Amino acid sequence: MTPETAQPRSEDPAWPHDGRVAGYLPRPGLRFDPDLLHTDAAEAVDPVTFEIIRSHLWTLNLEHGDTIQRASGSPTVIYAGDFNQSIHCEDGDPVVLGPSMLSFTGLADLAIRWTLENRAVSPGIHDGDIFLHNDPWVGAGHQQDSTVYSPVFVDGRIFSWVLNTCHERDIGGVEPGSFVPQARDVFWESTPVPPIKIAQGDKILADVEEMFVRKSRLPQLCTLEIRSQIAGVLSAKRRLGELLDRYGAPVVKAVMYKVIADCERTVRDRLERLPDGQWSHRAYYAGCEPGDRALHEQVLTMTKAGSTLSWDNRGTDEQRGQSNATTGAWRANIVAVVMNHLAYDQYLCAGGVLRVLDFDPVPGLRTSCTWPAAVTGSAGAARTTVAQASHLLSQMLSCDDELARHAWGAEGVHTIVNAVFHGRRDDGRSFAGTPIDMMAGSTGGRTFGDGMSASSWTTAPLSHTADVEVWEQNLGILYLYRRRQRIGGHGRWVGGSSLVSAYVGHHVVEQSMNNNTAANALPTGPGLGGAYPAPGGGVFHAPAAGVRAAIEAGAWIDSPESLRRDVRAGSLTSVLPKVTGLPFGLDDVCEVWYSSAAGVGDPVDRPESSVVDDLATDRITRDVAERIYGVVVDGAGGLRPAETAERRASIRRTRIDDGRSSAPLHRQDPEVAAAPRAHPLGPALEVARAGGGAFYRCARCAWVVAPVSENYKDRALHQDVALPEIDAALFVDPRLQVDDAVVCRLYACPGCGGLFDSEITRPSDPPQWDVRLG
Amino acid sequence: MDDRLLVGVDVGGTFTDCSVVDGEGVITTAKAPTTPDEFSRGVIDALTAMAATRGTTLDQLLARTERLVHGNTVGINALVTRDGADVGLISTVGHGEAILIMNGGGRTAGVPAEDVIDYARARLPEPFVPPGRIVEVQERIDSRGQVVLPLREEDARRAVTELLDQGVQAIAVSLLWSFLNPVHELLVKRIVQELAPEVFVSVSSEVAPRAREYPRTVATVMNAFIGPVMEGYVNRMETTIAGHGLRQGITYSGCAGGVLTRSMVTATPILSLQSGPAMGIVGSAYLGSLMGHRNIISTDMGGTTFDVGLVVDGAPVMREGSIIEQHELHLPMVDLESVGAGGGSIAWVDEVSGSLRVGPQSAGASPGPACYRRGGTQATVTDADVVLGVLNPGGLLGGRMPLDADAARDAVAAVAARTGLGLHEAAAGIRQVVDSRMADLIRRMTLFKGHDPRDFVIYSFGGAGPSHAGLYAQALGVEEVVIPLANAASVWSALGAACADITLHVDRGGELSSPFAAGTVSAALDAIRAEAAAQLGGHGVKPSDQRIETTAFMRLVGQVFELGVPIEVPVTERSLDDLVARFASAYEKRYGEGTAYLGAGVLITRLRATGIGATVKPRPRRVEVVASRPAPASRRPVYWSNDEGLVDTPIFVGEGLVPGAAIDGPAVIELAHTTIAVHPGQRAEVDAFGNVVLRLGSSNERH
Repeated sequence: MTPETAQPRSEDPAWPHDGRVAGYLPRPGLRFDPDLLHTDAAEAVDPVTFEIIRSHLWTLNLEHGDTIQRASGSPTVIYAGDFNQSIHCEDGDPVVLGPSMLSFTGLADLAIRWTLENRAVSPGIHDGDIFLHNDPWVGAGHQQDSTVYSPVFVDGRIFSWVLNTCHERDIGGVEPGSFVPQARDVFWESTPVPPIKIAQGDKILADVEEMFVRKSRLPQLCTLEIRSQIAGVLSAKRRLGELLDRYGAPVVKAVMYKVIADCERTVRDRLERLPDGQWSHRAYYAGCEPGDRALHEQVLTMTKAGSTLSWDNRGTDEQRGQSNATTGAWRANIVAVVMNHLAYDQYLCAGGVLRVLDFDPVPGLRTSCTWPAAVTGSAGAARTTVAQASHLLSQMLSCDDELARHAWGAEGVHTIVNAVFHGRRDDGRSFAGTPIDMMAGSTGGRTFGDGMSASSWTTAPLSHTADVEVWEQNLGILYLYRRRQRIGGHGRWVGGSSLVSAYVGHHVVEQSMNNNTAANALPTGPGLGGAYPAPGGGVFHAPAAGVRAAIEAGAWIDSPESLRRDVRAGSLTSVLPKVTGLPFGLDDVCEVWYSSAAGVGDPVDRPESSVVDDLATDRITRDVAERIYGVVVDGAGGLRPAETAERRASIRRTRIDDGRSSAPLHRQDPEVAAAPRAHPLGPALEVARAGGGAFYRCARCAWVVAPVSENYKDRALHQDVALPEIDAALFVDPRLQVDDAVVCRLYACPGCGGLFDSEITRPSDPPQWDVRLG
Repeated sequence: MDDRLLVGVDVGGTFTDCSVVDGEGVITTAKAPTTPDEFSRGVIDALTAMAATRGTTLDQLLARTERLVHGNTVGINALVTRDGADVGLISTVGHGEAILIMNGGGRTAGVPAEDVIDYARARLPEPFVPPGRIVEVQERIDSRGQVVLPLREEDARRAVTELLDQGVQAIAVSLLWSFLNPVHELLVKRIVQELAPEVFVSVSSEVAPRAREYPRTVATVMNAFIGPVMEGYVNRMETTIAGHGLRQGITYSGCAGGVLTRSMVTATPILSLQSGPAMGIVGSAYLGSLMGHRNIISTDMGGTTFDVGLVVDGAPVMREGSIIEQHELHLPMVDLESVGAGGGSIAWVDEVSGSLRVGPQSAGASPGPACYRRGGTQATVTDADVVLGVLNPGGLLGGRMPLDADAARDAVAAVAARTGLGLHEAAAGIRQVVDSRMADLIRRMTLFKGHDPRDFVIYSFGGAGPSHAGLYAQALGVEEVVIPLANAASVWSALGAACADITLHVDRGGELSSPFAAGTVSAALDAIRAEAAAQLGGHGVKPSDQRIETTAFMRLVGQVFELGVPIEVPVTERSLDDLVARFASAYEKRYGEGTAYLGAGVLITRLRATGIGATVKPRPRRVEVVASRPAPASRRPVYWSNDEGLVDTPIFVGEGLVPGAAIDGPAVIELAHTTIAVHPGQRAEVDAFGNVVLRLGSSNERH
């Protein structure tokens, strides 16, 4: 940061989250004239009318999304599903959102609330106004996410709001596509626009529209996208108006309030079945800007008390480089994940979810960056937040046998892995973009079965990539192959695997590639209950690879194995984070491994038949089967049961023999060992109460690990393993990307050698105290 | 056609329907239970029932048959139960997993929006070809159709042999960019035919010659999966029927609005998927052409689902793809949407909100509504209709199907107790909720595709439709509902099939950028027109019965939506300018004003020739209309709304109504297979064809 852009401060030191310097968070109480709001609600609505209105609100919101899709026609909207739409109460409380990019919901209410607090006096909020903003500090993921929203008025007061957000293909900044990997601050990027009126009286203001799209390299398409968003808002307002005409504002409002209250009650009921406590996760990252090899930490902590979940980011390192997220983006991704885990059957009502959540971020960190940090790469911090929040919730949910069905290993793309190509084709067309194979994603192992490969994101359930033929037609590439990686994270139930794609330049006269990725050798997707961490993926580049000559000779490079075997010796390298401008011509190859999902449980507990099947379908090697899963097969691939049993016992024994504990092992007490289970704690641990105390106990052998007042990991046995030693096919050696040493630490039961947990850590760090039951 | 008969037989989930139109335009209908273990038995049963209805024998009926059009669910049934052929797939090196990757969208494709975030319940679909039967061949063609890596014959031979050694019954071939250059696919096909002529072969450049390899591969693989099954079925059907004296070949219902010859349905059986509902829309379009209705919302409310399709400007609205079993596939078909709302939809109370919900779970035909007394105990829409008196508590089908009104009352009372509503209020609530869901679906299909429902007439068929249409029409501001040809409404797909022409598509891919060269476009059109004519001829269609229509599929550079625009021959520079203008105008009508940004450039992505072989059409008898006020057959109390409570309502028997008869609501008209509810303020009239037309008039709240 240069001196001219030294950090300014919020005007109100008591509430730093003002949306100008620190990311906006609404403070308690209304900070605007309450007379603006229409709050009349009928006392009761009969169950038939309620259902009809609820269903109408749901449908009209889907129609709102249909309208945007139809009018925009953008591949980012249609394939990547990078948009969403929502209906809100008068004060911004979200009633229902669409099923596309869920993380937009925790931003939508911020934009509305900020607008109420900052625009009610000047220029005023009137019937027929439509607002537009893309300011990450007010409530946008990054500047590409333009948000269009409008109040719905009844009797001169604001009855509700409708809102949508779409990812624009280009909104300016120094790199085509608007991701600026080398940005030092926001001034390298597209200038954020705080809420402004794009329309009055539902008519577009031409001057404002032109000012906004002037920033884009694709002004006409940008105009089309903004107009599609306005069309969406207008259609939603029209349909809501019909509903109000028919049933009257108080009845519709009563339904909106009740939808939120019902969702809130459902989520609170679920939370109340679970023990109080605090869960936290520390992830490591590097590569914030070109050449950044230092190890940084991103920490998320969730505290559950009764039926409330509080979140903070203390322990996270300060903002740096390009992949920072504002407070809004951090909060929004947490909201999306909570919906997935706790409100999966609530018709996407975010309002009820928000009511059980508290946020307490410290401004200025990677996940709560202050202006003027660079933020177009916010998905880096945000996707890690998704993985962390999902992990914390999964740990909490696995304290209840039934709710444990909604716990899972971290999903794919916990680390953003993304190469962007730009150049000129031999037919004269310029292009910039990425084949969004990242969006094919993968989902985590569950407590009852394997995760799914190429199954999108749980926080963006309708997103996916497009066909190979689409990308070859629109960019300057030819795919060598597009496959699913063999397997995701190892575990009793394995994680799903994401795609691995290899591209070579084709029909181009010039082309180069940018690596938007952070240090993906540091996996940020934790496994659950003894599963290994999920692989972080990787970007590889082979200039002058000799592919064309190989094709001439009739040999196609058709897999990662053949790429490593057949490419010109030594040309294939792991691309460092945030490197831009790599050559990508007709004989240059780029291979991208999108980060995969994590599993659940100790791999040694994986059903033997599943491992035999994994081997038969080439998902794992014999070496991995024996080392990680303890399964031995004969020459024909058939299970050798006796040797397998011996091998599994030996693995567990080795964990005991070679493991060390940070504190003396707990003295075993038969009374505690025999006490009934109070509740489970994931697949490997449980809590038992005896003699007035509560203890962590091994679910497999009833070894009493530690009192719940302590960090059980101190009294478990741990071993540190280098990541490539786990599975060299899945993990890039972190030493290629960071200076500090980083290992995977496995925690095992001193009684039986079963795995309790795994974590990524510095070898010198003490065990993370990540679970504190209340 | 004198004494010749047009016969339609359509296999549905529960019943196999049969309709006959004779030379006088008189329509006869009959039904028999569907026989899922061997569908052809149910077909013969339905035809036999028809013969009995007409007082003749099966052989005599078939001897008089001019055309027999048959709709079946053999294909979709095989797909849903995964009971099809063992398929092997040959694909491009590096890309064999495309059908397993599904672009990453397989987990949520076709899943209702409200369920997509429930990961605990999520699943990926079972693949139609297991990974072990996918073989990659060393070949590559690029986005311009240029060969990057030539396919060597020995490689192709090795791949085919590998699959044959695994004992596959069908081979699908889907290579990248084959729709631009099919040379490699055709080589593989030739080798399969040479090595194993008995193996069914399905080739993507023939089945679905369009860009995007995932939906193209799915279409090709599904086609292979059901190919041998369909071939076997058609052979058995034709042998059986021929044994009963049918002189003509059978034609088969298709999903793209036309019928298929035997060779078409056996070579490309996926064209028969969803053909039943599609034929219903075709029937609506044909009836509309007789009645002067050019814009029709065609609705079919059966036991479990409510299906909707549109007729706009006299033609069924089409789409180019579908989602089946969570798989996306290229398939030109009549645009149909469905929602789980039917007579069997179950009413339930949401525990948290206390709200009254209906469906999508259905009691179906078994156990069925509580009032059927087949073991069902949960309240359904049909039970609510019985409690309200809309359906005759004494029984349906003219008393042939007795109902247990007490069971209906008990079931609805349980729902009432949990919602705090009275019995009739709860029953009326069930009706309102289900009607509102149906209206929502129609809104999505009309308003959000650029149509105003008020410009449409609703056609209502299916057993449960006519007792609900008056309400959902009202909610949409539609003024007129037609219950087509009264007693034919419940066999509408069978009748629709008899109205359809033989239709085939010849698609030619190849992206052309604007400005288009007339010579290039012209040559491409000539080629596909000739191909379509040759194919029609091959199916026995005389040149005088042939018609060929051509369509250009176009999109804007940078946008994903593709629209088909009619393109006329001869092609000139001027007509191509006009083509772009018509594309822009159609685009804006569909996607909204200002959306057709031509500045980015326009592409023709493919050209299509549609070959149409005209068939003999039924001509429903038109009878002179004489105004009359029929007398009710009986009266019973019917609960029309919470405002009025039970109203003593006249009940009419449909069979006694003649053209010109008019009945003011509230009234109920009972027909053989369905019941029409005429709400207060509405009027029912019988027109010259015997259709019952509901006029909503003053009851319409949008006016």
